[in-house]
Amino acid sequence: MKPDLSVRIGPLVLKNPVMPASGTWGVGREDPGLFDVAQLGAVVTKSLMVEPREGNAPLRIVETPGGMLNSVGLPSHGLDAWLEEVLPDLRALDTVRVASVGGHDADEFVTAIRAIDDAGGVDAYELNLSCPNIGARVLIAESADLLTRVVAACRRATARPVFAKLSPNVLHVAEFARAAEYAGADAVTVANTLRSMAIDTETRRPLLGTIQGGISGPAIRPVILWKVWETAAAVGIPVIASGGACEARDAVEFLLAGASAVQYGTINFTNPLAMSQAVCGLRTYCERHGVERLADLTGAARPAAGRAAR
Amino acid sequence: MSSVTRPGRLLREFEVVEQQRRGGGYLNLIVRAPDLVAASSPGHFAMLRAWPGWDPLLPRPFSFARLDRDSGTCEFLYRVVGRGTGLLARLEGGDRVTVLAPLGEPFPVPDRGRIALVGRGLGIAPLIAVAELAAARGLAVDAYLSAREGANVPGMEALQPICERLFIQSDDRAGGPRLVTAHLEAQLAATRYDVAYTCGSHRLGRDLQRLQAEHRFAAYVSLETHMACGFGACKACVWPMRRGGPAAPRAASHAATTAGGGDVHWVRTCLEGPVFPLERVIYES
Repeated sequence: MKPDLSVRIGPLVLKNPVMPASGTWGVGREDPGLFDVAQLGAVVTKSLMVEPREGNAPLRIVETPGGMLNSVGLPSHGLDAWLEEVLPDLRALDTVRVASVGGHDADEFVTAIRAIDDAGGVDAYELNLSCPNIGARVLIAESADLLTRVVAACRRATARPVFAKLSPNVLHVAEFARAAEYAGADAVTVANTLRSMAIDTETRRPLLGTIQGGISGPAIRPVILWKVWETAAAVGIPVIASGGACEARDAVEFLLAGASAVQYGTINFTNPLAMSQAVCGLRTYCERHGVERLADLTGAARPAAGRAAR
Repeated sequence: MSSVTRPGRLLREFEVVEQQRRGGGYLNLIVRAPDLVAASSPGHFAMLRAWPGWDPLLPRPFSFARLDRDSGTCEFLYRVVGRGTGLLARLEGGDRVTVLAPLGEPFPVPDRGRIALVGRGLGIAPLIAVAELAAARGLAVDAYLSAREGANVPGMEALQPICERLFIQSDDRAGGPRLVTAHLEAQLAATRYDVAYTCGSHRLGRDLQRLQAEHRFAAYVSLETHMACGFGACKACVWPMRRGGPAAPRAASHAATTAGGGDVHWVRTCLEGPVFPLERVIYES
């Protein structure tokens, strides 16, 4: 029996649910060169910003048990450099190509999306909404109003699928997922990193220059799993899980909770073969359990009423 | 279209040949990895992991101290500074270690001439590999080494037979100049170096920048930074650099380029380095 690993996200068909989380995998010369990314269901680029930005001064990453904190600060060479340097490598990939776009307001997101649409070669956009909003002291993804406006503007700017990447640092991700769905998102990514910090007990100072950073990695997976479960119950659009996946069984866990696809992020730093191994592992899982279509697992752990067809 | 762009790079388990415990708390891990050694050059580094599961989460970066194509072994010189190195220190012959390598850009080594190595403590490690390659090519090699203890200078056994001149500056010796670059400065009055190499100590790196500017020789540094992934994805390892000339000059026969117009940017040491033209590196925080 050859299992069908394909999944649908809106109009897109992915050959399997495995893709990198934005900011954890590069294309072209940034690809570590250990396996062909055509094996993956999709590739998601690191977030681009319209204006070039350097990002934060080191120390940018702090290890913590089973995870890491990051305060990298969204470095970007800017839109023009992205179109010239990244897009050609991205366009050439033989899998679904997702450009992650960041911005301080709706105009910046729209500027980037329009320019990329004109250039062509990208299949979908993931909106990095955990960007600070100009003027307001809040991340776009942590204000339902701002999120709705940005997602709606992006929806109008392109006919291609738009995924809204949500922040987990809110009381109920489901509310924000509903806002994104209402604004026209084709899918939601649950979720970005959790707000966290660390203190050096010798210097008695916070370890990160920005004091707080985002925690990611296997330590947070149970938290994200619950947020996926919560969100899948609240929306009709697909949920892309992101947070702490390490192996194939983690993708199965997320699918069972209601996800349609799964991003692997921090684990790539530990094991850059993780995604390739996950795809193989999913095939083995299906063969072992007699699962003919992996997509049938989406929501299968939920009570029957919660399993909407996606 | 294949996205594979790094022929020779591997992520695999290899067998430990031996873990040597040396004086001064230094350890030398010898690994059998013929494919890896054949694909690697001085200046490359590896990410090592030798424990199951996700805690510690991240692998640890180590420069190749030695690359022996005859025996197919490579060596990593280090000391225990935390949990990761503590776990690596427990490895013995026959154990397995997971290695991702070769990573980074290697040192340019010319075909002829005379080179100077400048290093302190474990900064000497990648310079040992440079010395062995240079000697094999028939270059003259002089080394300027410093360490806390004169009796425990990393790389001494490997460098002594290779170097024409070997200057040691140790903290536990009374008197004499405090920076080993003072010996180099004195030698520069009589000797011309085609290239100088350094790694580790920022004080030595800064002083070598001064000598480079005065005497106009090419110089390269291998920068040691915190790393999470080692291959360019996480962007943890950035260092401030002056923008170099067109595609940072790699030919060791170039005279050192002067620093650009003061335009500073963060550069990933794992991807564009860890080897950089010395004049581009900004040492002040």
